[in-house]
Amino acid sequence: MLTETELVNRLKNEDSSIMSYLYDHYGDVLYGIILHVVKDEETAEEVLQETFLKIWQNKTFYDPRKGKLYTWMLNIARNLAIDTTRGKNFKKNQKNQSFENNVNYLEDKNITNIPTDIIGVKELVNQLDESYKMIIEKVYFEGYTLASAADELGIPTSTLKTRLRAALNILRKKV
Amino acid sequence: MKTAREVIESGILEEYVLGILTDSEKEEVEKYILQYPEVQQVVFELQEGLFKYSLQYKVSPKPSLKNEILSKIKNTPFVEAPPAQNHPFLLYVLALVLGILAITFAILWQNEVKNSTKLNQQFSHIKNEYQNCQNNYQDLKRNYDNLILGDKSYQTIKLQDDKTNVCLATIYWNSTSKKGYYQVEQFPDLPQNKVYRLWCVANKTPVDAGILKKSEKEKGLKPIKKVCENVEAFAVTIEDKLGEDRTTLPRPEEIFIYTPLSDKK
Repeated sequence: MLTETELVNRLKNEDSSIMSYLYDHYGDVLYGIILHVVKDEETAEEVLQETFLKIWQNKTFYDPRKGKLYTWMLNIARNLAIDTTRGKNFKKNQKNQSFENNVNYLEDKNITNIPTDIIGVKELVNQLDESYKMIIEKVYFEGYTLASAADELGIPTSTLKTRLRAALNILRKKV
Repeated sequence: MKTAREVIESGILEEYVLGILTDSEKEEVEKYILQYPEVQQVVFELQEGLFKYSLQYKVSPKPSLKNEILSKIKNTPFVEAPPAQNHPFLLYVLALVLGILAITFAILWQNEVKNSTKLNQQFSHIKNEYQNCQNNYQDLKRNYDNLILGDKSYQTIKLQDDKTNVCLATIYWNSTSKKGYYQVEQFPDLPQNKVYRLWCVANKTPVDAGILKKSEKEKGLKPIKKVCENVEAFAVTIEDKLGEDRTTLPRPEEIFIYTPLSDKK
């Protein structure tokens, strides 16, 4: 395993072999998130390609003081995926799959190296109240604004904010 | 400026990691991240929490995708700055800033031009005024000199080098009022390090009356700066250029001209 510093140095020094390493270690997480958002394998593959290109092209903008490299990559993937769902060509009917079903991927798929301990992810997720999960999904993966998520879930924005904060801090404490 | 605790408790960090802040709010949070290690720590933990939550969706893509993506990256030239269309906002800001700068400079320049025209006008006005004063002064000075020259109470003493008959200066001296003037006449050049100094001799003692200057020739009568009782003679020394005033007595070899008052009044 490369350390975070080694990773960042190689990326910033334009060592393109690092992209292979990043793909091996984070490709499945990024792909998983993208697929979770766009709900279509072909689209997810395109977005994943776009994500790695963007990581490579924007590497000079990554600032290690503002976050870990993998969280920066995750944000690129998530934002590109959400942008895709907002595009004209995105088929609305692809949005039907419920997110709970995706938890099964944990059992289904091969698990490769991840900097954080994969053991306990399911327990972590299960500790979250369903209403909390729903809010994270709406805001973090579907790109809803706080107001529109509150509208959709039929709760006041202030309640949504409180729950969102609580949810994030449960996740934070368990890290 | 908020404290680290206030930032953490405000809930803005949670909104930051979710990516739902406006650009200016985001900038503010990033300022705090760089400023407070505690804030940075919380942000990292929140990001990691979300990352861990995201792990539940982990899926391996089809194996052939890796090579497709990596060859695409190899064939993509690295762009130092992202293409403009990625950040049109920054370009607008840049254009706006440049525009504002240009307008500011234009205004400043215009003011500068206005000011300098005004200054030039004032300057030429002052120059004219000065010239007028100068002319008036010279008229008055000439009249005044003529009054002295025509005043019989002043006696004329020529400071003349007997060997060459060169008259260095003429003294106009009024023994009653103890007032005197001198007019530089001919002015034989001296070596660079030498000067002519005028002396009033009273009670057998020479008193320093200042250095004679060639430039004084054009300026008419000049008052003798030292007023002495019982002046009996005027003298000029040729001496080393040391300073405006002299406190020591002249040495005999320095004396160039010595002219006693012919007729004491």
